[in-house]
Amino acid sequence: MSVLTDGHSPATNSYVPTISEASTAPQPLWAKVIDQTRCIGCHACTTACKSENEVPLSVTRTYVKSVDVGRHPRARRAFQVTRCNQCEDAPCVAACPTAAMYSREDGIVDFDKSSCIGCKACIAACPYDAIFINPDDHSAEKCNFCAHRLDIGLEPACVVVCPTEALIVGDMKDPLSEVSGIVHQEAVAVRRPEKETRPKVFYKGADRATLDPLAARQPEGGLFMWSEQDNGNGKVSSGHTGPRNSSAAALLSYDVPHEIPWDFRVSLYTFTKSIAAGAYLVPLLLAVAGMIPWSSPVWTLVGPLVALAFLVLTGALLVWDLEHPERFWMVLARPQWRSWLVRGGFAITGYGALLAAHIGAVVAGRPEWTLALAWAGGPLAVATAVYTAYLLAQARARDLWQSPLLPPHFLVQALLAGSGALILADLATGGALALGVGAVWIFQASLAVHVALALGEATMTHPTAHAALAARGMLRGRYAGLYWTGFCFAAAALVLVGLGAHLGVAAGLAALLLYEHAYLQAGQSVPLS
Amino acid sequence: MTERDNLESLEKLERVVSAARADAEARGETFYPGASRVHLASYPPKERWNDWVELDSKAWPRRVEKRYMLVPTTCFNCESACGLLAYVDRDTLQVRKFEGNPEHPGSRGRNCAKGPATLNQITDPDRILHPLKRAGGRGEGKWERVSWDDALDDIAARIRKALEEDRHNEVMYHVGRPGEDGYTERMLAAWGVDGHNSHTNVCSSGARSGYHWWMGMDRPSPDHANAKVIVLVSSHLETGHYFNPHAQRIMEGKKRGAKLIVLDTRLSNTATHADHWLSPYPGSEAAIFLAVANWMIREGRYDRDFVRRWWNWPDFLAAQDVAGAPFERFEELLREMYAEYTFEYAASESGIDADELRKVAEVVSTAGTRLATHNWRSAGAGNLGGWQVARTLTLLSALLGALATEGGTFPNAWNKFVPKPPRLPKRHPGRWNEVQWPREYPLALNEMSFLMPHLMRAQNAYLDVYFTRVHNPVWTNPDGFSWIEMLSDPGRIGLHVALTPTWNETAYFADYVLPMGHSSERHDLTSYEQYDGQWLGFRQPVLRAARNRLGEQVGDTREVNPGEVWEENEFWIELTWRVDPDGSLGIREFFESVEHPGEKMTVDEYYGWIFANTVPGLPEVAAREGLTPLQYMRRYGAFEVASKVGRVYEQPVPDEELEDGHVDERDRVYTRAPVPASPQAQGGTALEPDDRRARGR
Repeated sequence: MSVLTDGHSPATNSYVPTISEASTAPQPLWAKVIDQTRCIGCHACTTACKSENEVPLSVTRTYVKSVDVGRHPRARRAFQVTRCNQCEDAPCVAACPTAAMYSREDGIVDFDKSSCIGCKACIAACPYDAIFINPDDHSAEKCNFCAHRLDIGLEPACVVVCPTEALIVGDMKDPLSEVSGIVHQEAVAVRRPEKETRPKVFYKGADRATLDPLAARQPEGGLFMWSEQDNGNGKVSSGHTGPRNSSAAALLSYDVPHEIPWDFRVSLYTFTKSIAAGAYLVPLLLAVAGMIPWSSPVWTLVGPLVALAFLVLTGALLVWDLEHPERFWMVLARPQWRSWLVRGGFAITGYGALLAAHIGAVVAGRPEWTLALAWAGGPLAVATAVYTAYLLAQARARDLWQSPLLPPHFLVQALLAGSGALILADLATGGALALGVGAVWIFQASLAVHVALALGEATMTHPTAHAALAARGMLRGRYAGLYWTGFCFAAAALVLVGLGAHLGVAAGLAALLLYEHAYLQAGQSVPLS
Repeated sequence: MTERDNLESLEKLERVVSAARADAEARGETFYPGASRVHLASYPPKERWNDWVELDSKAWPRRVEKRYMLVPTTCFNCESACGLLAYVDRDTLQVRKFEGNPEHPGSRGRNCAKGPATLNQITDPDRILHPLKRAGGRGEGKWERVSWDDALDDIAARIRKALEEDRHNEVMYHVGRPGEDGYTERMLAAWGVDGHNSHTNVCSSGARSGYHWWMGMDRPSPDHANAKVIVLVSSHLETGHYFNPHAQRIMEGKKRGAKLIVLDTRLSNTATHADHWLSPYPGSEAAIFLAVANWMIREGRYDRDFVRRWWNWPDFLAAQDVAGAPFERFEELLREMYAEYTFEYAASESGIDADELRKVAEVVSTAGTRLATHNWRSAGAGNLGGWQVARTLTLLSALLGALATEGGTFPNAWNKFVPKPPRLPKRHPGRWNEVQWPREYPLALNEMSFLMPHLMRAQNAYLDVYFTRVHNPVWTNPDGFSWIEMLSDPGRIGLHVALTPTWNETAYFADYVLPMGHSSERHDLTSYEQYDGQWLGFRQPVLRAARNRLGEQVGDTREVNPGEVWEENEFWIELTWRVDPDGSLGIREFFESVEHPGEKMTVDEYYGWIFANTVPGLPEVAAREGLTPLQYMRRYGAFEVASKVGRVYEQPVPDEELEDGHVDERDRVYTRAPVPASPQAQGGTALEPDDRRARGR
């Protein structure tokens, strides 16, 4: 202890309770109330949080969105303090492959950056778009109720700074806490209850125009109240992009646009992975159907080699997409089994091992073993093709991806990509693979089914406004170019291949890639907060 | 968490203590309750501000401990002067973050966005770290680094020469936001210079006029928290001073049931919380208030007893040639005088429906003595005759007797405390600078500084030394190019010294750019009217205070600030001494030590003296903690001098002040008794000769 020159000595009481003692007390269940009837939209919480948690420029753990509702002189500005909702059933925790996002016993959804691989699955999953990648340390972060402060008996930084006491924290297990009182006795709302996440951040006096990210109209030209904001280039801001919105005369006046988590690398990965799965599955189907002999080079070596090559490429793309590529091994070494990224990772690894065994058997002069291996190979290839549907569906935020047709669609895509790739290989080798007509039939059939599914996806009435808006993005919005170019390519491929010009499959493959990119981007293009 | 981290953490765990209520109270320490009203504290116990251990948010969930010294200072990002606590890292002796100060009576531990953001200012990579001298032509953007000594000697020599040659009016200090009430006024008065210029005429002068001509004090101090009706011609829930302190109390009042009426042409954050948002044609606000007044007068919804007792209606009647007529006659005249201001008239002026105006009038009339009102800039500043907005708004308070009442509106000086420094020069230097206050504008309440380039030209004036500080007219004033023209012309400005922490458009045209500290890097005393009470806030260089606590002696604030950044108060003392090194000009004495005459006054002695001698109650409270008054202020940053000041006008006047008194026929009191001694410097800018001090108290 330093010598003090201003005559003050620190308290030296004999009884000093420590944190370890405090931790033996019964576990609270932390919740917050955001009282929008008191909030003056001053952004103090935003900067206090930045300062407390050293959040760098360009990202925020909390910010204040505002929507101007009504028309002069009957108008008001509605605010929404926007942040992590500390879900009881947190989609980010389920989606995290390494348990870097985890739920504490006291209800706080916390994170450990040391095990974050930067896969952005949590961001894709969060229905509130409350998670971001810190540009300095490349790890996912968000509001954690200032757990480091709560644990030493201090209120969170935003609660302390708020001039109007609009933010309060409390223990839901304590019926006498202010938070319990408000939650149980006053009209409160949670954001996006339809996502069934059971948030522990309750809004008092919040306006529908802010709670629903699609309720307000987006300002024209990205002109917000005090700023022009980038609402393209991989960024999404709140508000309805279409002509309709669910609340009359509501105009978004301030928002912080969010980064779309998954970019072209993920679209490309679904494509290479489809080839990897299909290049093994298609020859297997052809051989089972007796359309090629088991001794065909397509089954014995070429198919598996193409599959393995594209599987390696798939893995490379997945690692490339990580913010922490050097930590990719954690997916397998520290698996969080509810994560489809983990399950898919093991499927891909198993499939890769099987392909290696297959090739090894052939090289070792034991091609007959490949038949036995196929009992595992078939299911593994199907799993590799189809798991992505579950991975996307685990992104609970993204309504477009919550489609029961997604697993079969990915299987169809694998057949389409696999057959297409092999037909091209056949053409390149001057027909040395002797693929026969079966592969072309598979190609034509799968392309036709794919087109039907893709058209259905875009034109079908969607159960939620979110999904409808995403589909609109494909049909008429930001991704219409990709979508319709893909459609034309698919039509061209069907015509060309039908006329016997097998080079047309290249157009079919391009169509698939374009569609996948449009579909994945559109799924992420709808505002969530 | 690795094994080693775990062990380290466990070893250290002994030192982290909880700030929660039971834990803090068990240790006999202060628990600061927060908004959540639970066992969690909003701030660490003050007993531990010297050595407080927190868990590092960056390393989380690893429990890495960080030791901080919590040093208070005062925010400088608007005039509100809210309290801040700097968390000084004990290992690096750098500020890690700023939070609020729970010991500050105005801001009560809460802040707006600009408070915590102070960190960005002190770590701004583009800030000016060293004194700079112009190397090319003015505005050419070429600079060279110079020493403080060279800059001070150069500037001081020019000032001395000007003073010796009786060219006092060629020295001017032009400031937007003074850090400390009265400091530079006093210094300039000591120099004999009438050169304190302001920005006020492009800012709050309109509303100030309205208030000043009501009560001789130029600001209102509404007691929002206890009001029944709040009328704002401003946007205090988002901007303006005193934004954060007032916003807290406006919402507090609202939650207690107060009705909020807001006049704002914009849909502001304030308007959105209004029970009645009026968005009138700009400039028609006074018409609305007159219509409300007319209705209250006509319907008898005013406080007759108050008006009878406190309005100077006998004077009015005399002016109407009915001297001696009864009060009822006055009421009659009042009705006649305001009769033309009907709701229909106000509706046609403002574009707001007459029925809506009537509703508002009814709400206002329900306030009784709990009507809190405020106009600062807004309509008062943006319109011809804007001063009538504050004037007509105050009329409503006067009709209801809601002046200096609980929930009413006070004159600012009653809710503000400006202590006197040890040495005060005469009230006014006896010279008049026509550039600041031309005689052709006799009704101007504040300096005509927005016309300065034109006045300089019209008067063919020249300034040999011109300081600018928190003032960027090139950018802020409507005709920036006129300023550029003036600042670029060596025939108008001999030497322009910009005192600033960061670059701005006006500093670009300076000859010297001298770096001054931000809120945590300088000394100031602040006090503002934010509720019915009086407080004093202390702004201090927090790293200097931290090093002092660690037993280090700090020569001046430059030693702890980044680069060679200084603070004004020390700079002015040093400059004054160099202007008058031997005391022959009679200037130096105002910055001489009281304890050691003939030596330079230090900031420690300056503030120590003020706290010990002129702040009622502070020495006693400090002594209870075993601290000197200065130590107390360095430790806690703020002190509440008074609360619940109430109706000063109802307080009985002590007999000795009525000595040899005479009451005239209209109850005016005249007395020959001396002005009572007060620790408070009146109004902040007035400089009374301090006889009491001269007698060597």
